[in-house]
Amino acid sequence: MQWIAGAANSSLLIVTGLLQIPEVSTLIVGDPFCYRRVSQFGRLAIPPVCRKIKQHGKQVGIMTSVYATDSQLREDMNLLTYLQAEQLIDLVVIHDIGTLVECRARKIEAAILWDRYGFGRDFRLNEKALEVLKELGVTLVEIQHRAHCVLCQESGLESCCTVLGPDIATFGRVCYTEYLAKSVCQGRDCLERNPQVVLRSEETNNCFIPDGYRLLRSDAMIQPSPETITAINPDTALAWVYQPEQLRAAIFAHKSLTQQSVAADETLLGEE
Amino acid sequence: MSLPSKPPTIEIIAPLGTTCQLEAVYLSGAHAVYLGVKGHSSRPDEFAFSIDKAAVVVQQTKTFGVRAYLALNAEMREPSGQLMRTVLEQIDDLQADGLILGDLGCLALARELRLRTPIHVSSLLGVYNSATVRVLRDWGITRIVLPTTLYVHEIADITLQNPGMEFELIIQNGVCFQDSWRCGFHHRIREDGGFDVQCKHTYNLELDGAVINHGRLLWEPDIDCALLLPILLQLGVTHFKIEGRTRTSAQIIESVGRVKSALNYWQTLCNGGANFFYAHYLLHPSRLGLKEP
Repeated sequence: MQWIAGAANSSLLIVTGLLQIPEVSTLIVGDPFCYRRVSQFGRLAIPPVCRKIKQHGKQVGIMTSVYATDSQLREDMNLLTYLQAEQLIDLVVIHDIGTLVECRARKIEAAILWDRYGFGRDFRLNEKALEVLKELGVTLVEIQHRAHCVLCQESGLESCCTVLGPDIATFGRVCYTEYLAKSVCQGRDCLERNPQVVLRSEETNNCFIPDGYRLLRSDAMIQPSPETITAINPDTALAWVYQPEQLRAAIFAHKSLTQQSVAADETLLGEE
Repeated sequence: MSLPSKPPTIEIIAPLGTTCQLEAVYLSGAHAVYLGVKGHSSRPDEFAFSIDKAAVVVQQTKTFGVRAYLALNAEMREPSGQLMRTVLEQIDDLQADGLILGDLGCLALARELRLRTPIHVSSLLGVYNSATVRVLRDWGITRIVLPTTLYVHEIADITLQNPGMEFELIIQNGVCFQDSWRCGFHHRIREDGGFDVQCKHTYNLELDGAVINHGRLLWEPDIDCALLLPILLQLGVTHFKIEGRTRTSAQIIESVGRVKSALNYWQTLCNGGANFFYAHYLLHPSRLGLKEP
């Protein structure tokens, strides 16, 4: 199973740490909602980071906009076209039909991951949709269940499952950090997010934490157990982390389980 | 790029959640209704129609000269698509004025089946840019319901660069504060039949345990964008949806009435169709310096 990693808060500061993890084959940079979160220089900061990733022998993944309006799409495509020309791109994370089509039109030669933001609330996959996505150039699809994995295999697509990441309750076009603070973002204010700021429902006592354009259910990461991931058996594991140590721990846990399974199988074969 | 050769159809589309609302819709003067098909609509099945009942409604609306659009805009539940294929074929025979689809797989099936009924793309597919519109046009889609998360200038970017495509927008009642088709908040039907969503809860905003704000902080109040009608018309949005399949007949009549008043006022100002065209020409893409597709 391959490992793709990105910063849970889209910050570029974590890249150096992730580059040191040998199991990670691809690093994703960029933010699906706001490039101010990535860097004070926005998309301009991306190419140097991509060069650094390539120098370390790893592949580069670029995140595109969830709300790919005409102006955002132009910005995304300009970045992708430049990175393509500099041979600094290996994977594009897409969630919009127009972005897919534009990538094809501009001959962006990279693998394309259609991720969770490209599916509806219930995250349902179906054969016809996968057929269309494959026709439009998608090569990798984010999944949640074993059944999704099988569908992808039957459709000739690779499957990718999030094994570690923030517990996102919802998101929208309004930045919760700005809106709830009733102030205009001075640049990456959400990265200074205070985990002590919470929204608590009077009816249910459920809490949500504002994190830029997302609301998180808690500060804890969602992390399906290694057994669950093994059962799903995706081609690729996707991890969004705040610290490289979180990813190291997840990889270690998965490897331990894999080794245990192999040992158990060998024992069984020996007995037979 | 040439100007449209005939006045665009301006349409007010009322919601229909139960057959009891039919009379209200006719009285309101709406030009069209939209109704969900049980098991395939984004609203609960309590507010949707079986195919047989939908057939009855479609025939009744024809009698009254009102158009009927059938919503099958939920995500396809069955991965193989076999059930949806059968449903689409049955629905096509009803000869409704349009099918509203929101799932990529459903759209692909509709293309494959070469349905006679015009296909409209739901706001739940998420059309945010002109590139997507061009793909959908190639697929034979005749109308796009724009997401309510677009700002007016973003609507202009799409509509002015894609003349010939019909555009629709929710102009009255409920819209989502969060993302309308990917929000992860729980939605459930209460025992009294109402719709319970987490965004409607009252929230305390706490900082280090102290409450610094309080209220329905994650909820968008009902919108009333009737006054935006003239702007939207000039941008090429000509079909206006009133949200509310779960609403009462009285609410539907009032909502339609507000939009009709705004439309009548605008048409009076424009002295009818001729001046409407003049207003449209003033915003022709070439005048705005936009590149023709």
